[in-house]
Amino acid sequence: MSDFIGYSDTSGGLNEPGESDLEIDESLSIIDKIQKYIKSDMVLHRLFVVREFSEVANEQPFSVLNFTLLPIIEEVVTDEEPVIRQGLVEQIPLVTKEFLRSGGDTGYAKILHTLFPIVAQLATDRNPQVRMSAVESLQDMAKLIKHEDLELHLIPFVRSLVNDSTEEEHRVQAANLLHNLAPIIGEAMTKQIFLPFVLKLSGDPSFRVRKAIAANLGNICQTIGVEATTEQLLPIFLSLSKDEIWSVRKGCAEVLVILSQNVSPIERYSKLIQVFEQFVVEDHSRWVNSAAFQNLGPFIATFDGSQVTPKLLQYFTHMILPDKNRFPESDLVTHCAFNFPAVLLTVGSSRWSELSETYSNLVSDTTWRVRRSLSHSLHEIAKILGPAETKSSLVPTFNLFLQDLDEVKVGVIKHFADFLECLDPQLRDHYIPTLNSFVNDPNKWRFRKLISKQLEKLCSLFSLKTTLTQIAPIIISLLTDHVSKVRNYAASGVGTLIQLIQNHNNNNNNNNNNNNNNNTTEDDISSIKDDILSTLKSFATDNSYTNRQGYARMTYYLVNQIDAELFDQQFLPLFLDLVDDQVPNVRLVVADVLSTKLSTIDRFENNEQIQAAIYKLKQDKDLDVSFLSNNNEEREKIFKQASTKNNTLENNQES
Amino acid sequence: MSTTTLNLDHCIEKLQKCEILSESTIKEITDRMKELLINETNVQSIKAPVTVVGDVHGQFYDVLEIFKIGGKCPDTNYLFLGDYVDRGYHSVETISLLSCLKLRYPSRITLLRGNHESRQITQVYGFYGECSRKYGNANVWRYFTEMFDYLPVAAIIDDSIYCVHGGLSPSALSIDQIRVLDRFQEVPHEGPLADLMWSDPDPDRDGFVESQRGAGYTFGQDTVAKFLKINKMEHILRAHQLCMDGYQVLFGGRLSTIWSAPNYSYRCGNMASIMEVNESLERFFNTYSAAPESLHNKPAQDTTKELPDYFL
Repeated sequence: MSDFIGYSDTSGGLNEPGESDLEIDESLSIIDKIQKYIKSDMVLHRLFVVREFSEVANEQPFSVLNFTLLPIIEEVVTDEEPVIRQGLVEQIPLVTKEFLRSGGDTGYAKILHTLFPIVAQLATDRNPQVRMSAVESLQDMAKLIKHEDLELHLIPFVRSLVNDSTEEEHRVQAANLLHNLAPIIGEAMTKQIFLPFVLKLSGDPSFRVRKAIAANLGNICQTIGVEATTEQLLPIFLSLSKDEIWSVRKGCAEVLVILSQNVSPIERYSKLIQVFEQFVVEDHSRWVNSAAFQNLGPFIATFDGSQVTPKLLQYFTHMILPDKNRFPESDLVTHCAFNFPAVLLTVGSSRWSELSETYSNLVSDTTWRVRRSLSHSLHEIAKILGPAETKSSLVPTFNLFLQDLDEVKVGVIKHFADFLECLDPQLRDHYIPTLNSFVNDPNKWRFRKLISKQLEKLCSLFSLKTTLTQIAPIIISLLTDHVSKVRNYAASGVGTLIQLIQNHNNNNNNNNNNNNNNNTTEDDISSIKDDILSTLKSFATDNSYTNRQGYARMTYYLVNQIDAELFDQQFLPLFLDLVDDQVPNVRLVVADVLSTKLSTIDRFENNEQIQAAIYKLKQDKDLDVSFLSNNNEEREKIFKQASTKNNTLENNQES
Repeated sequence: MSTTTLNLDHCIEKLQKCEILSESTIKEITDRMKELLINETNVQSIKAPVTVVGDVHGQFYDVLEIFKIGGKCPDTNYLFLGDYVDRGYHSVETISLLSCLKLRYPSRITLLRGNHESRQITQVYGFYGECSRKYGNANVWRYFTEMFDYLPVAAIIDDSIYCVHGGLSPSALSIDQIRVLDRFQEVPHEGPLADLMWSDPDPDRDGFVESQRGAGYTFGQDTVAKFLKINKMEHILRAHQLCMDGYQVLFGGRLSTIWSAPNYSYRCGNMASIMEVNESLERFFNTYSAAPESLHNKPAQDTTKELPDYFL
């Protein structure tokens, strides 16, 4: 795979590519460029300059926008190439923002009377891509226009589409717009103006229009709330759900969940379960059936646990069984696995017996994507089921996933501590070798990173002795990992360990007088404690600059994690010594910790040592160190000053 | 002349999401880079600790991986040995990011020139095509290749470790000769400048032998020993050649090759490494394999959005 090159003495190698016809003349001013190339016969030229419109609008004074750019925009609307019209409609909201910024009342009037109508016009373009972009732009425009102008300028346009009896496509677009604009125009206008439109479109003779309105009920019901949805939208939905055309019913199956979230519990129970059953039991379309099953998990999650009937739950468990399903489909297994935690959470652990068999089937599925989802959610299942059931039902699964493919394994590693927390304490110790096997695997730093992120929690799961003898070495190993990210996460987890040691010291001091039992164990523990503390502190004076950086990073977290006195006496002095470190990369981390963390701590407000350290680093000869010894506010100021200075310089050069 | 000010932090943030910068921003970046680089010497002196990186070849996600493993700028000092572009899918993003980092932290990062930082080579191996595809014209390619002429060609760490993209040249056996070359030009076909970027070590043959590559030479153990002695150096660090383990040490530990593009060209299956030189000048090869995002054969569409793993 090495490179070869045939340099020859005569030809001088390859020729530099010449000026092709395609290239834009960059010597022209941006306005000249636009005026020249917008008339080009080459689509690429026109597209290139259309995409510059917003940049022009950003740079030029309003007079240029108004008298030069706007007429060009009005011409481009009729460009024959759809890609140009699409490019234009994507630019208009950006241009509109500049009209708002620099155009005052005139600018705003131009928005209402020229720019907005252009977007509206393109929303009914004959090309679907242009229409799609126009709908997005129309949403942006509706956000930029004053709310009181919406009724006069936006609504009549939507109404004209709804009432357009000649062009079916316009009514489809109307349904689409009702959905997209409802959140922008708000609850009152949606109820008052859009709901009658919804009703009208739901009875449209064209099934394409009915399908569009069915699929687009989501934002509307979210905007108008539970009462209006239950009273006014639900009847429309119920009638659409019985439509003779399958694609309309499929649209209903797809919005079932969001509708269910927005109706009263009684109607949800009495009406919507029926709709679902009708889709999966009676409907002869496999597409409706499949859409309903895909949404079953989220649908169940919209209920109170007690409302979920055994029958509804059975639909969920049966959807992965080919012989129980009229239209079996492998995709449904993935949906079942993905939604399993939400369904169990909804019905609660008392219904585990109805779900456990399904869970066993899912965890042994041959598709790794199915197992990957379950591996990521295993700890949530454990939380819901509690320690006893976790031990008997989930531990075997946990063990299997730990041996599985990396793509699956990653889930249980990511939530390792969360899962252990759901186990009885005496069972947790069994997993320390597993933990060590991940920490000691040099080839998988992402697994080590995942463990590094859980150190705080891991410190709280075991007995003090186990934490000191087993977890502390893991922490120290991760603090000196070869991978920077692993080290940095580990630095955030040290505090819990130190605080555990400190709390134990305090308890011991209190109990010392009346408790002389277990002296040998106590002696052991106390020497391990001292070792750990001195190892951690030795990072500050270590030969390796990355360990000294690590100490500075630890300090960032420790100040919030451990007792003030302990921090100030044992950890702060070593940190302050690093102000004089030989390596600028250490000093710059120290500077950053001082300026963004320690200087924000109340008790350090008048601390002379800290002030002196910051002062010293601000004079540092290394520019990165001195810069980072400024706090965020000061850094902003420096940037601003630098930019004004640059601008003045450049303006002077121009004049 | 543009009156907008370059916000480097913003550019770096954008690039880290693998989004390209606008053509006019690239113009400004390359202009500023030239102003900065013109003041660097042919042979840059740098201080340990420093982390040395070999060829990366537009494998953008693997470059991000380097910063995750080696530490981000400015926490870690970096010396890149060249070959930022060509072959990979994201040469534009790679060289844009490295340029922005150089401008933002000029004393934390050093960029040397590799044989691919050349007009002629980039027209054959991908960078020219990528620029044209991503910007609709070749301006960005022109800006960057003009900037390449300004890159220094070698570096010395703590007066002890000599660093260069390819290797040694029979016509510049002392570093002082390299210091006085006129480097501000397209990589020539022959002569010392070409040799520094094209040559390879040969463990089986002493002396200088014309390279099969068509440019540069191979050089043997005796040549390396002589070069180190003349110039009072301890070690040579170079890149330029694929190593399946990510690195290779030759000539009794006197020369190291560092290769930093894992699974080169998305199919070689090789490891990669960066070399961490600590304050005591101890050298450590930190090895790694391809970033997960890099394993997708096609450029990822949207890696910023993470899909949920389950619904609760």
